[in-house]
Amino acid sequence: MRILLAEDSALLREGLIELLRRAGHEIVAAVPTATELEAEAAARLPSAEVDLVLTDVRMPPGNGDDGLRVAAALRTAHPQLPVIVLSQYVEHRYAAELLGIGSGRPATGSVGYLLKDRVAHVHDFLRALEVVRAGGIVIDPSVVAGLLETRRDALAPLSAREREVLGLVSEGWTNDQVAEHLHLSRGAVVKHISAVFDKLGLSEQEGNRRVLAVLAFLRDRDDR
Amino acid sequence: MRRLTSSDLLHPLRLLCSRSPWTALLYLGLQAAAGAVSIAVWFTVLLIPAWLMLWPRCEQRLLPLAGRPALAPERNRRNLRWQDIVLVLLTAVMALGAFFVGILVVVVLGTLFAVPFAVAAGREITSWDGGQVLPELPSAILAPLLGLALLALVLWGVTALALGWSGLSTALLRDEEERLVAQVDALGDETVRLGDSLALERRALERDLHDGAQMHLSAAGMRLAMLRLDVEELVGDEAPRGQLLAGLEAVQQQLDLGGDAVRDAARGLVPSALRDRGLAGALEELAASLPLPVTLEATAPRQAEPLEQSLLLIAREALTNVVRHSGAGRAEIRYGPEDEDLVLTISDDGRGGATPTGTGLVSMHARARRLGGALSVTSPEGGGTVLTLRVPVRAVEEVGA
Repeated sequence: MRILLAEDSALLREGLIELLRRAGHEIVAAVPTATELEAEAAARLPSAEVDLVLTDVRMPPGNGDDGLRVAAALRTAHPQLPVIVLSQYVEHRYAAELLGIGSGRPATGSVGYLLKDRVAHVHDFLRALEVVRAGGIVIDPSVVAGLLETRRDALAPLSAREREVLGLVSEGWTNDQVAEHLHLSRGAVVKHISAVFDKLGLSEQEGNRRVLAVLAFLRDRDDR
Repeated sequence: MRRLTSSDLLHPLRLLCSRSPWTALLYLGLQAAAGAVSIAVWFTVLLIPAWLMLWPRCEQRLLPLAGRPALAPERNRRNLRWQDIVLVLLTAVMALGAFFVGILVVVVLGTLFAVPFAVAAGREITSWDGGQVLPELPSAILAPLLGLALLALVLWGVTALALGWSGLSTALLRDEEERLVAQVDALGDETVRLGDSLALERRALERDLHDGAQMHLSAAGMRLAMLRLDVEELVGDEAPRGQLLAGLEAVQQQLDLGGDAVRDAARGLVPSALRDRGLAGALEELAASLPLPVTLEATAPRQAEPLEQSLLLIAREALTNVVRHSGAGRAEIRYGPEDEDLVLTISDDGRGGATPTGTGLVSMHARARRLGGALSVTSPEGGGTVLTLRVPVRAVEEVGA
């Protein structure tokens, strides 16, 4: 696929370019600042030259969360544009902002939030690109693990297996993928998921909306 | 009245151009007068107790003339302390000295300035023992110049003497409570200074981790990813390939652990919301983390990070107090520019009656002082608490240094 890349460190930018090309993707442009990302996107998106935007969070000019700001702005302007944000940190706020949780305008899909370390797990990383390109949501397991940790009280009624399933669901896995990963039958997975939703008081949903609902629940501080 | 410190004495020109020497002269004059009264009172015997009570109270208020802060009049002070007696006795002794030195100075200066008039009147100018007649013209010019130099020296000496004397009376008259408050303030200042330099170091450490260790770990991860793709594509014997992949997997695990360790070390070094979105963003996050509804109105533009960090710490301290002590149902944060200043207001509808000596308030005051700003707290019993911090924007650069 054709990727627009933004990463301020030359070392990592070159590494990503090489890896993505190696995996058969095309880099339409690779820029070191959020301002240039904005400019490139403005120039290339109208003519549909870009299949996916892959951006770092902390970049010039502000060296704050500039990359995330641009990614969020791009998603507002082009809700269907697949965007993956790579971060050095497990920051729930980044994930929440990107997914529009709590903003009243939750994302519908085509979005990912990954730690840079995840790139080393090359098959997971490349799979994430495909999932997001296809309209799915991918959340880094570390983010989900952190959320599960902080919500331990609310998750107390879940069995160990149900918690495992919940973790995978919130990372954006489909029922089939969960079944394969945990060596369960599809029916068993469905049963576990409906038990989880039942115990947490969530209404059962499909696909990305399910991910968002679970993430919103995990992120919410007050017990319901 | 301008505040003076001993270092001001090192800049005599600037000092002499100010009003300070003259107010110092007035101060010493009043001291001399008080000394004279002290001596006179001594002979009446009956008036001694009244004078011992009266003069120290006057002196407390006169201190600003000498460039020192006035001492707060002590509440309910009825008893006589030995410090008061010492002060009155010292004043009396000083008055005697000042009387003679004063007369000497007036006579010498008067003589020097009188020379031109004497020359104009055609009188002869002789040396001090009368043995030698001095030339007219140089004397008429040199004598007043010498007088001016002497006057400058005297004024400088007066200022120095007033400063020293007022320091002595401050030490004698300041009561225990004020001494303790001053000590607590000094400790608070020191704590805040330490805290600020720690914050700067943590900021630098976090940047080093991000731009150094984390970047290289990520780069190594990318190399590893490519290596894995290469190995997977190797054709030939299955066994060595499996071995290679297992080795890569082990490296991968170590890399993950390394990444986690660095992330854990970097976590919490700098509040990320402050780093990313400035004080407004950090206040928003702070407000959302509290167990009571908080309205936030932040209109100020981003400031230098050290200033924002200090303001955030003050806000956090204030809101901690709201949660812990006020019993408030809701709170409000306002942060915006006003004239040349930044104003941060935190108010609640709780029970009020905040004590200004709590450790929280002491460090908030110290922080405000360090920013060159002022903190005020209104907390009537049962009427909620309003904390207002006003900081000049120009204070920004100085804090980070």
